[in-house]
Amino acid sequence: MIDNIIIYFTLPLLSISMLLIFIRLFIGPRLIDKVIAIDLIVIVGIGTFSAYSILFDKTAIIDISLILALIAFLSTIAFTYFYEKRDKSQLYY
Amino acid sequence: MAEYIAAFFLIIGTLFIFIASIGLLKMPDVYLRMSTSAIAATFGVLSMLIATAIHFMELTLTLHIIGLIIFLMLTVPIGAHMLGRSSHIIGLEMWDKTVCDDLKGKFNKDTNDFDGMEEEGDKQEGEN
Repeated sequence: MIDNIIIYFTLPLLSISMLLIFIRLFIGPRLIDKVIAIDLIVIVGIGTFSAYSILFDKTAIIDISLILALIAFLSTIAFTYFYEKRDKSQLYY
Repeated sequence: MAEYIAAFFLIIGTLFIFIASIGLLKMPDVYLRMSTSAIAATFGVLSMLIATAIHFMELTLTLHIIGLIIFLMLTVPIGAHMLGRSSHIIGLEMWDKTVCDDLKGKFNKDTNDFDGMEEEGDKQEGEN
């Protein structure tokens, strides 16, 4: 039963949401919109990994998502640290 | 029975992630986009991880998932707070219909911090 739910409900909806996030990543008017979109891509990726680990009966896929969450947090903090110190007279910020 | 509970959590999590992505596309403002991506998507991914833990019923996987849930609940609000703080410092514009902005004009560029709260308190005491 849960395999059918994953194949016909979870993975299509996660794919559509990934597509919507990629639209925001490309049209984002500010730089920080793109950072928020990348942050959400990682979260949707963790959800997709958990769905695939149920589908394929492999528990080792969860370990990848731990590393992904760590990288997303560190990149967000590093981005905001350098974003505040940026030259505000630039046209594109 | 455990299969049904896992399916329930999986459907809830998928719906919340989908709602978060729609909100990221449709919201008119940087701050509103940030709040949707921080709150709804985190709840969705937490319930999907809980569904994975219920489906497998293994000790090591459950411990991994508990660590991942604690890490996500600690770091995602911190990241959203840092993004909002830096975008307010940079001075990004808000939505037209924003009702109030409590931090307006309270960023001190010399000390590089929000320390305008005490001045307003002193002013109110002086009026009284």
